[in-house]
Amino acid sequence: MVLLVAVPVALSIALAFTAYDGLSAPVWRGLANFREVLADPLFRTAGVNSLTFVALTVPLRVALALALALLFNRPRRGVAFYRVAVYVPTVVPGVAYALVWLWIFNPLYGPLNPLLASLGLPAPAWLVDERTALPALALTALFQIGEGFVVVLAGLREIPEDCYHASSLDGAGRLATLRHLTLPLLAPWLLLLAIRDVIVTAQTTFTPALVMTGGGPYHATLFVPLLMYEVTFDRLRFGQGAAMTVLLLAVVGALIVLTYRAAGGWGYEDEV
Amino acid sequence: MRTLGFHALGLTVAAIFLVPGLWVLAASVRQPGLPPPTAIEWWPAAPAWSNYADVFTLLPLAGYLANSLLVASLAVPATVLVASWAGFAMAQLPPRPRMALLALAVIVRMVPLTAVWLTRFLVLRELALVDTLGALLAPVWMGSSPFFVLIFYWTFRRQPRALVEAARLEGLGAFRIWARIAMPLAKPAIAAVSLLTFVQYWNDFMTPLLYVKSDERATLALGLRVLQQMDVTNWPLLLAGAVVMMLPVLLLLFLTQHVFWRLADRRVLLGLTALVLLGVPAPAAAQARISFMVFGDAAEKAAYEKLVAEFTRRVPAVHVSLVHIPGQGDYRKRLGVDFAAGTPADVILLSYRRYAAFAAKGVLEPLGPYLARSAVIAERDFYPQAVEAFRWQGVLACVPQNLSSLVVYYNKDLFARAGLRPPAEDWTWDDFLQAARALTPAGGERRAQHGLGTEVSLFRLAPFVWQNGGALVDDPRAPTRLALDTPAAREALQWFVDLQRRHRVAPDAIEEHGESSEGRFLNGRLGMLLNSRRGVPTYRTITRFDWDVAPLPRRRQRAGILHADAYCMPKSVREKAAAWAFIEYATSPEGQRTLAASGRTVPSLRAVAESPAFLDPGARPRNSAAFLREIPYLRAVPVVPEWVDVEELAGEELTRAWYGRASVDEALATMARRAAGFFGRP
Repeated sequence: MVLLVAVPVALSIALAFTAYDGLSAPVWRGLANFREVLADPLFRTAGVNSLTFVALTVPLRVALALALALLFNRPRRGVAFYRVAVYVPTVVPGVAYALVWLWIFNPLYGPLNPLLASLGLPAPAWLVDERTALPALALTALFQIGEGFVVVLAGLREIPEDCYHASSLDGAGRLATLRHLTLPLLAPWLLLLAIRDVIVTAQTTFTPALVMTGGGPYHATLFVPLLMYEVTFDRLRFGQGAAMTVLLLAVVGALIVLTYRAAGGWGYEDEV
Repeated sequence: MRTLGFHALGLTVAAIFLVPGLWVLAASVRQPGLPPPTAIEWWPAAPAWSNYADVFTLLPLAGYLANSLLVASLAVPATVLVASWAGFAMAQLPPRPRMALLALAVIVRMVPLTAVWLTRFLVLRELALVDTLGALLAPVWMGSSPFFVLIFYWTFRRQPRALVEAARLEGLGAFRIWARIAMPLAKPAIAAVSLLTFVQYWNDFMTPLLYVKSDERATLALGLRVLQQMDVTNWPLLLAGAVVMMLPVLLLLFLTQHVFWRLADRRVLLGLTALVLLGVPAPAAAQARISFMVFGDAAEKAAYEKLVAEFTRRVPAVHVSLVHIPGQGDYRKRLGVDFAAGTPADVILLSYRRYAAFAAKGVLEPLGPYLARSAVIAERDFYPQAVEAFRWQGVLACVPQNLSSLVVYYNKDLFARAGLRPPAEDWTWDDFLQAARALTPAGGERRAQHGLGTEVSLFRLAPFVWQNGGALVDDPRAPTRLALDTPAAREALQWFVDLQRRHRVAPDAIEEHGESSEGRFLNGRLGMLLNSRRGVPTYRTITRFDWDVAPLPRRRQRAGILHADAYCMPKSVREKAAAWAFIEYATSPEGQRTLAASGRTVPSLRAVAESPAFLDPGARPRNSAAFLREIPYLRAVPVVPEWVDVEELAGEELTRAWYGRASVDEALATMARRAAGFFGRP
């Protein structure tokens, strides 16, 4: 952990204050990198895109995982099949997944627009259009919720049967059981899931953006990780890339605190 | 009734999650090259299962598959072991250190991989793990993800404390409590972590992208990216590749529930972990080993494989491993990382548009002195245009392999069908436009055939600007700003953009995204395609129609654009003699003849270019001499470090204008403003 994370992070933070091309020794620049990065319109675009993506996907992903886990929690005929079905898109490797969606969205060869047309719905240009490209990428993220699904299932199994017995003896209805028993007991799991999603989004946007859109059209799907990748490895401006890293970490940290606070109302902190 | 409702809901959910997979399967056996379907195709009339065989011949997929499986199956047990142990330890700690560890775990998980990508590379290099499967497996030492540790922590915290206390009173050690009491009660968590871990390693694309260099250790994720870059919109083949990658893991998924329970057995865990410990392969060294990095599509790769084979036959003492990156963009990033980490390939192929950034940093070994000492080749044997492009501050930095130019590839059958004569040697912009219009049949919104296809970039536009008497920059030797706003240059730009906007002879945004211009040309649905010599090895695979090349159409003055790549040697190379021996062979008449026979290059050696090796009348294109006739008129783009970035941003703005998302003047203004940030920067 120290070697793989701590040392690299410390190096990154140090580099954020230098001009470093990876080839010659770093030169101290103070805060100049941060000033340049914050003044860069591309970084602002990427920041807004990333936040939009998080806001679009994280709540929906957690809600979907919870809903499906509740639906397929009780063992009964066919449930095993449904569970596997939900998990299928998640095991698809990122590059293959991006490629498949690239094809599904393809305005000429893909199956999505004929499907929409047969339902009488309009057929957008998806990844070609600056307005629909980011929502399209967000849509693809909603199908890979198997991990959250499994986590919530595991959480549900940890809830002792006795609790449900007690609850039904008390005469609580299904909704009341859900609200007063299941959700509070699941709260730490859901919180963990939400936090994890926020963080993971900081890097899962990388592969689809790289494979499906290259950040386009015209920066509509340029996310911070992709920009960092380009600035660092295309232009060999490690210092600027590191400054972006530090900013990214700060924002993700703030988001986590926000999520934790927002969820704290019905979680039980003493567990932590 | 409730059961029925449940199953209706369940089946709907399952359909939403599974049907796209069936579509993919159907599309993967569609005949390649067919025009787009008009409705959803549930199953093609004549399934082409040969697509799967084709994918396996195109790429060493079997090896990728084995690597992916090995990595993922080693990672799962090791991760469960490490993460559960860490989680167990955390659960036993008193509150204060526990809080600190929890915070640390969360903070560590916050760090996106992109942030530690390069610096982790440096650490791995110190541990000699780069380009081993050990690099891919390194994260298991921290339980793969602190998230997994947290899952175990939550689970163990929920187990009755009394159980642990009782065991402790009976004199059981921590390890035994973990193994006999905690773990057996945590099976759901073990299953969850196992699944998540498997997916993490199977999916991993960024780690191999950076930490694995050789084909023998590449994983499937990397292989599919390579496939995509080889052929951007050949959907049947791409989807066949995707299916190959998805199938094993899907099968495994259906088996998981039973398998993962058994993996929780302690002895299996320990055995497999020992395998990971021992499994880090050690490199063997006997001959001089050098690596040679190139870009290009499958046919180009084959050409370089032949070159390497020929060299190995003549110089068996040197072993050359070919590192092949299909896309120019990925190539550039890969080079940047490799140089920064001090581990670039020993010989790298670089375009004259791209080597300046490296030459300016002083990381390239100047090859001029080597060439001067050579008994096989001499500078005067090369075309001066190619040599000059690689002269950095008076010294030859790299040895050029080729000098190509932009030409018009045209489909002879489509020309004949449209009643057009083959382009004349001195055809004009107007002739060009007339031909393009004749080749674009009128049609509805989506046209099946187009007259013209081109990449939309400053590099493609440049010769038209020059022909019209304009310039790209104020001073080609030391540019300080773009000069495309002069009337001559602006007129050329407007004419270029009008090809798509006004005359609609080129695919629009949706059509180009749907199927690339090059794909359309290969499938016989595009009349003319602008490209350099690079396309020839691939176009030689065309069997359905005949094609040839014509020079660029002319305007006020004749001008072409130089395309040249060269063999460069990084300064850090240890086996300099061996690397030079390879470069010398590759640029010698014999090596150049081998490469020229593949069609890939216009040889940089005058004697080879003017020989049948290049002008072979039996090989397509028949009109190869057109490339040589352009040579006296070739001009180069500025050779300065910032040029790649300027081209990239200019390309983005030109694309907007080309597809009508911005006017020509808006594009020019934005381009000038953005370029100012690059010119003259250190």
